[in-house]
Amino acid sequence: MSQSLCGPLRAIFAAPKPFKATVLALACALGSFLTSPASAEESQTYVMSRFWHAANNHEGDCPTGLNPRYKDQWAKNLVDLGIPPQEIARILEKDAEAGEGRDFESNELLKLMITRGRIDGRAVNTYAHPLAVKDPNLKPWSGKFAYGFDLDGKGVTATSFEDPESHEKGVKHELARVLGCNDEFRARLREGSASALFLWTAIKDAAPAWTFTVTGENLKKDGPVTIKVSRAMEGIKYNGNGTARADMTYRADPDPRTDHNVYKGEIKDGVISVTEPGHLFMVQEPLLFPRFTLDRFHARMKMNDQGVMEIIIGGYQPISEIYHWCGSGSIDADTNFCAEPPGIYHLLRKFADYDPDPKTGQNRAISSTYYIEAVPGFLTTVKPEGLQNISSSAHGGSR
Amino acid sequence: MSALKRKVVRAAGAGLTLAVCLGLNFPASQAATAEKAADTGVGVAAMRRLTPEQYANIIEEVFGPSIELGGRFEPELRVDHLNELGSGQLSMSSLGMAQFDSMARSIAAQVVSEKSRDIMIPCKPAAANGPDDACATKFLAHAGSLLFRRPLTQPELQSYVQAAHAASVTAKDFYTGLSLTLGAVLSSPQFLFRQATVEPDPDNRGQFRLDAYSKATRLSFFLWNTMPDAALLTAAEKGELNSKKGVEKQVARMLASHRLEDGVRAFFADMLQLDGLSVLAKDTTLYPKFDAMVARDAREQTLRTIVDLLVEHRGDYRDLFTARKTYLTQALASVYRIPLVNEAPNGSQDFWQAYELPEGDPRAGILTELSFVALNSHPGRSSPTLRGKALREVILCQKVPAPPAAVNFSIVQDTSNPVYRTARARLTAHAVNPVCAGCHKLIDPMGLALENFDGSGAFRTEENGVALDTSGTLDGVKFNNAAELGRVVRDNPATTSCVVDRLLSYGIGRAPVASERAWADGLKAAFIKDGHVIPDLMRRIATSPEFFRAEPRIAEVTKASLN
Repeated sequence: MSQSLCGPLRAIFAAPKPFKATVLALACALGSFLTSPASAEESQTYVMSRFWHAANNHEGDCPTGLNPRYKDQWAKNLVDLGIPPQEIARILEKDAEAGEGRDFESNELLKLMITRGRIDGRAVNTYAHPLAVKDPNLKPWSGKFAYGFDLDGKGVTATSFEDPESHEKGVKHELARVLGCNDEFRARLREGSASALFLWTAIKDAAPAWTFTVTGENLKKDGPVTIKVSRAMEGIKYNGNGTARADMTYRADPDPRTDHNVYKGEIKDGVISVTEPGHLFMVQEPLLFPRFTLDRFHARMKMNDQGVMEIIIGGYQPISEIYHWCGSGSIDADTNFCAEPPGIYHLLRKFADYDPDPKTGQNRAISSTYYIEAVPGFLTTVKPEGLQNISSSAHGGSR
Repeated sequence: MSALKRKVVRAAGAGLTLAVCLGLNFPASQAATAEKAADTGVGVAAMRRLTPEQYANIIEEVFGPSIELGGRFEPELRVDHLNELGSGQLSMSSLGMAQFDSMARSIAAQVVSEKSRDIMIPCKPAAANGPDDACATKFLAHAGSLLFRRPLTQPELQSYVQAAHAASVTAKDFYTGLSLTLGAVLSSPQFLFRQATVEPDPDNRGQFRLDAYSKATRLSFFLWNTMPDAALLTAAEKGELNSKKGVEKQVARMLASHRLEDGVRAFFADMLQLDGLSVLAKDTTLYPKFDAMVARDAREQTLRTIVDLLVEHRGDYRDLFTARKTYLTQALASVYRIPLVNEAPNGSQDFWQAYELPEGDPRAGILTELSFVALNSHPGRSSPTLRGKALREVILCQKVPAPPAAVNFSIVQDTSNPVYRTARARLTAHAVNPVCAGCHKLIDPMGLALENFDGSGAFRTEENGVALDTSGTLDGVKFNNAAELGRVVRDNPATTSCVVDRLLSYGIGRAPVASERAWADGLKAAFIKDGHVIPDLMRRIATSPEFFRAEPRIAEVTKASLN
């Protein structure tokens, strides 16, 4: 922590009462950080400014080609429904005439796609009952390099990957197989896929900011640290040019559901890593990502030369959470950011590699890796009785 | 309203504005009227165009805060470092007049609108579909006296009432007629320009003084940055402002008013050239946090700091350069890298919080605020030269010559030069040129002391990996960093002298002339004796007989300014 940045908080007056109390509390806490050798720890908080699946797709890594785009898949689905070719041609032609201005109420093709699930012969909602739809057998990805971690500690296996940047071997990241041959999910790590950008744009203003706070004796040196993942009470704050604003102050949400994600870690050669994997549970945006869970949570963080912290997190994620954002979007997801959700669900089940159902043996979670960018910020801790202390500070720096 | 009716009303309105302006003998120029004043003994001796703030303040005072101004104002003109002085040299372009006319019509329409007329208009017409001269007279006499800062003359009032009558007949609507006439009042030079009308000074034979209403106007714009209130106009009407006692009574009342804050804000916004922040743009790739909101907040931060110290606490003016108490929003705090909690719900407006920097903090005083370090920088880099020049000229009132023509600035501008990695190194290399060296010696040391602040005002300790050396001297006094520079500036006699000169010029609307030197010197001595308290200095200026003297002849101003 830079003293020049934290020192300013030692005194405050003439502010409206609640704010005065707030900043005084901050000031006292910071003051103790600065002056007490016994508690000579420093903290740095980074506020998530981007979040998406850690993809690493390259030309040719789907040797038999990509999965069909949604319109082509729909044509196949009509065949699977047993509709005669002439009828299919008529339905598709009518839909093409409607173009992008399709009327949900009257469009025959949309109705068929939404209700093509069958349970005991009855039509059911396709997206709510993905297993009621015949498996379209979407193709999985077969690359060799995928971001992530050796989640199970078993090292190199027949299905493991090598991380393209850390070069860790034995990486478990089966979600990459599920998503990798669908055009809308394909991307390089930092670019974000079309789907990722769509989803992030949709949730970033609705979701409270996530924060990563690193605490240790000297964050400029190698050594042990703790890493806490929290949720702020505020949304991400932005600059005029649309990028996340650094050095803003956020309040940590004291919600006990999310205020417990603390992990032991270390700094080594400028990389901050979780050394004792645990369980991560976060609450995010209510519509698409109401829950975000990773078991055997791993993370590594490194500051890039733009002053942005790049964070790779990984763990085993319930496939139900992944399907939620894909399937709950219904036909809109199908056309915009997750083509053929039932097919994705079938793939998720096939490649799930963790948490077997004790009755059926079907795995219920899948190894996953996500990419996060975060900017420096300040985080205060809010207790039920009010603001109590400050848990972090921002960086110094120069230009 | 039908298209035909709209056309009729528009034509009537345009004709009305023109007729009323011509009928009221719009003065051709300040010089001509000054000549006239000298020749005849009475008349308009000076005209100053209202600033945007003054225009807004008056409309709010007269018609309330709900009125939307709309429109845009013409650029102001800075003369001798003050827009206030430039306001006396500004004319009006046709485009500017069109803007004022458009705003006037919009304001007038809001005033007579169905939702406002019962509050704004003190009477109801006998019939809404035609003229009512009695009601129009009542409204126009009252509103006109406030807007013109004096009672309307009988011909003026008659002219406006006749115009309202004619327009009401044409439009078949009393309120349309009244709206068009009020629009004409708001477009008239008597409203848009502050006019100083002179009369022979009975106490100084052969000299002129402002008439009572002009005195009231000068006082109110100096102390409050708005029009005179009812009490001040009444004092003018009763002739009380022609006595020293009467002036002192009004000045004491005005200094005790909360409106003094507006006057102090207006002066310092002008002196510190904070209007530059409204058009300040930075390279968003280098300084993504610096946007229009931050620029707006930077202005407000400095003005709040000033009002708090100088008005609310009646503090020593010089302490502005070392003050640790300031005000912040979250947006500003992020640029300063200061944690600041906003407990309002998400999406709420950012609000201001008082804040005190601790002893030893590299920031102290207004020179380290964004309103100085970001304003006096380039879009993509800091500028010790601009900062040093501003400090010399704005704060110390010292003259820095313009750079000679055809100077090669390439070394200074190349921030990625592998040899000259800091601004100090680049300027040292640049100042090898003897043509440049003289001025850079004057301005660079102070500017280099502020190199801890990048082009956006964010704190830094190094540039291109090289630790910054922020030491230097000002008039032989050494300092090591920005905070110490603030102390040196605080204790420099020119700092005190400068603010007196600026405030005096601001008050009388021109640079003092040679014959006013003794007055200026006396004010400086009194300012020091009074503990450098700005409201006390304003009181001394406003209660001086010289404050109400007629404008000296233009030739005298040109030849014999104190500067």
